[in-house]
Amino acid sequence: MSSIIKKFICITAVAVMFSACAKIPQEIISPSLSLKAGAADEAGMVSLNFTGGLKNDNDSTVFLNVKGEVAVMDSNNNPILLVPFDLPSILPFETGIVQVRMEKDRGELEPLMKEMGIDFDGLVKNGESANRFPDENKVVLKNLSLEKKGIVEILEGKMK
Amino acid sequence: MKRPDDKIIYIAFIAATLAAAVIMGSVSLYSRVYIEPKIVHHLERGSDDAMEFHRAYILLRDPQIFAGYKYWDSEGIPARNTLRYFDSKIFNDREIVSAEKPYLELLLSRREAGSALGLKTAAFFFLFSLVGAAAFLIYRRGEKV
Repeated sequence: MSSIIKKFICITAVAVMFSACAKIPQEIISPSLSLKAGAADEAGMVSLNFTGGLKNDNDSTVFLNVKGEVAVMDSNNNPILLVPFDLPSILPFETGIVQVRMEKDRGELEPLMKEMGIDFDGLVKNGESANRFPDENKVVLKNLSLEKKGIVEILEGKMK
Repeated sequence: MKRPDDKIIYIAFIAATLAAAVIMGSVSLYSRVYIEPKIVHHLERGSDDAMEFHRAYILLRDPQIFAGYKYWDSEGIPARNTLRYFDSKIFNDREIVSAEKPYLELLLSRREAGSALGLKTAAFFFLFSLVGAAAFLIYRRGEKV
C-alpha cells in the first residue's frame, strides 16, 4: 500500500474518531411561536416571537458561536418561516435558548398564519397575541454552524 | 478442523486477564495515588485562595475512567447538576466560594468511588488470571504423568 493511501486512511480514521466524539444538535426542542398585530401606526405589521431550545448532550464539549436557521414547514414540507439565530455558547448538559423577535409584514406571514389557524383580523381587533406550539417534526434546523471546544480547556483559560 | 492447542488457550486466557488487571489497576491507582490527593490538597487550601477551588474543579472535570460523566443513573444526578452549576459559574467569570466546597467533595467522592471500582475490577481480573495459571499448572502436571 502506498504511503499516501496509508496517510489518507490514518487521517480519515482520526477525523471520524473525533467527529464521533461530540454530538451535534439535530433538532429544536419545545418550539413555540407568538404573533401579535402591530399598533395602529404600523398597521399590517406583525410582531413574531420564536422560542425553542438547542440541547448540548455532550459531557465535555462546549458549543461556541452557534449560528443557524430554524425553518417552520407547512404540511407539504415547504418552509413558511425562516428564523435566523445566533447563540454565543451552549455549555455541556445545557439547553441554549433560541429566542428571536422579528417584525414582519402581514403578507409574508400569511402562509404561516393559515397553517397555524391564526386569524389576523381577530388579532388586530382583540389586541391579543396568538401563541402556537408547532409540531416538532415541522420545525427543522438548517445551516447550523458552531465551534467545538473542550470544557477543561475553557476552564483552564479562565484561571487568573 | 484442527483442534486448537490447549496450551495456547491457557496462556491467552492468563495473558488477557492479566493485561486487563494491569491496565485497570494502573489507571485507578494513578487516580488514587496522584490525582485524588492533589484534589484534596487544593480543596484544603481553598479557604485561603479561591483559585484553589478552581484548580480542584479542573481536575475533577476530567473524570476518572470508571466514573465518567457520559451516562447517569439516578444517584449521579446531583453530580450532573453540580457540573452544570460550576461550568456555568466559571464560564461566566465567577469564583467558587467556601460554602460550595461540599459540592466539590461530592464530585471527589464520585471519583473515589470510580477508582475503587477500578481497583476491585483489577483484583477480580487478577484472580481470574491466577485461576488460569493454577489450571495451566495442573494441566502441565497431567501432561507429564
